[in-house]
Amino acid sequence: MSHRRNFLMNSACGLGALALQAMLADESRGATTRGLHHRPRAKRVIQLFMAGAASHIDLFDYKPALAKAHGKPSDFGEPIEAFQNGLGPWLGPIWPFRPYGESGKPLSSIVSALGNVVDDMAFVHNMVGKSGVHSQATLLQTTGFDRPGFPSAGAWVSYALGSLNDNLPTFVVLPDHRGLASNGTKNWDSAFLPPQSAGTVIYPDRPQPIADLYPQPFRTKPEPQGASRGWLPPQSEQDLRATLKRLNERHALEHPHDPRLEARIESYELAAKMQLAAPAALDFSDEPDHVMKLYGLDNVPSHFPTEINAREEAVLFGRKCLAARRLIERGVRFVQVWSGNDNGFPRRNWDSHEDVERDHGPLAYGMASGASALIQDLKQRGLLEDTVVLWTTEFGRLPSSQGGRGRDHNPFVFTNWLCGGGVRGGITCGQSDQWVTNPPIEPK
Amino acid sequence: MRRSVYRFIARSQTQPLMTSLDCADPSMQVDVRNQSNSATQALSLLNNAFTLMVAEEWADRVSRSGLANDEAVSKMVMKAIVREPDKAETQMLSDLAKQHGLTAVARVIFNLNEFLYVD
Repeated sequence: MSHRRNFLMNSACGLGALALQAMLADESRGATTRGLHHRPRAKRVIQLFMAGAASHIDLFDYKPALAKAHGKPSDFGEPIEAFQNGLGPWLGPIWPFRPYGESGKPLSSIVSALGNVVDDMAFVHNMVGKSGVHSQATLLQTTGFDRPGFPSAGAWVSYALGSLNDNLPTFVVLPDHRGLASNGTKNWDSAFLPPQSAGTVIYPDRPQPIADLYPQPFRTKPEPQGASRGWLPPQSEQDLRATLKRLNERHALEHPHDPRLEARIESYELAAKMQLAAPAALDFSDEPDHVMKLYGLDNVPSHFPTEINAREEAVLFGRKCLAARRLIERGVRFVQVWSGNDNGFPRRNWDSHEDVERDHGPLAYGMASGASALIQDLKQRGLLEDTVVLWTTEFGRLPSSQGGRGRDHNPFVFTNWLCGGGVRGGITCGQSDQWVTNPPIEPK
Repeated sequence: MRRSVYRFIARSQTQPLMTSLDCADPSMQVDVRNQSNSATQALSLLNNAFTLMVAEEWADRVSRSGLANDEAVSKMVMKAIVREPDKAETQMLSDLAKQHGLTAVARVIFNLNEFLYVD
């Protein structure tokens, strides 16, 4: 059987390695660390996931040769398998690039908000997927495997490291407000790990951000005579919990050798703590103005156009990023933040087959403004020291066009980036080739 | 052993209440069922709209029989866990019924360890 360390080290895409790094950080307190060239310090992870496959070409991986070849018939110099019909003429980057920071890393204008944190970011341009199918590619990036049945990276981290806080779940998921991405809840499933390590879904935008945190005011029928009104006010909840606890404790005394009973009694106590801690974690009213402004959450219009638009995306993603920081700050180990939901029309995810400018534009602007605010905020609080921010997507998009303005799937090479938690910033680690289609062939 | 129910489930649409109560992933083989005790599970058993609806239905049905509180709660305990409550238990539940109605009593019973665990 594979040793846990080997297993984590070998699991794809570095998520396992991240978990391992964090585990070692814990284990190495007072002990010597072997095998790493730096002191591991990551304790928490925020994973930003772009559902539908974000274009590396139009956001982070600048290729002047492609810009020059724009409009010419595409020629990859090798057979390329498109997912649909995406082998049209070369399509140059949709937005202009210019260098940012001391590192001079070129970024696309649509993600220019990340320019002031680019020196803290490490880009990996030679990511290679195993599949151009959304569901499999998503699983590979959330669990390290391209088929179901394996725990999410967040579940591994909660299982291996445990909680830093006994009021909140260890692994929290902030889905796109429009719905879940490919695979739905499998992206934060605990699979064969204990179910407590699975992600807890929180919707910061909703009046009830955690399902069933409180009983909903609810009545199916008119009040019958002499019946049950009055079971919703806070006092009734307290009395009900107290009665439940006393009855469960009496029962446990009669069954002294059953550990499940005590565990269940404790779970109600944690639930009660969560009822207080979760709303506090998600209540932004104690944030000073400059922080709200940083996340683009000042002067939020009361109405937005029905069409997808950049300002609204910035507000929605910014809110999730601020919620993520507040959760991390309170000891949550792993927060998964989603941009985009499952496929559909009009596009509400990154799967821009038809029109990259139209469909990537608002999402990319919103993502960049929220992610930049998050990184700056973590940094000024000293949290970036031991928090990894990991930007992932399913795969990249082809340098050739599909229907003139869109791009097809490209699992052959794409980009992820990391920031914080000991990751060296301002670097690019791994390149793609000139057509942004393959990692360059290593000389043998 | 944990009290369980059998039902059909659409493979692509997991039901949040069932999921929190350790319903197996319907898209794959599961040889051993999980038995978890999480805070979110406690919250669903206490607060999920389905639990509330069933608690309310039950309370209404019992209250229609016109029994006094101590008889009503005794009947409910008997129905749920197949034993008579002792004197102290009857007292606690009657007090709760008097304060907050029989729906509160039904919610307590659905959350008892003795109700959840059959053995």
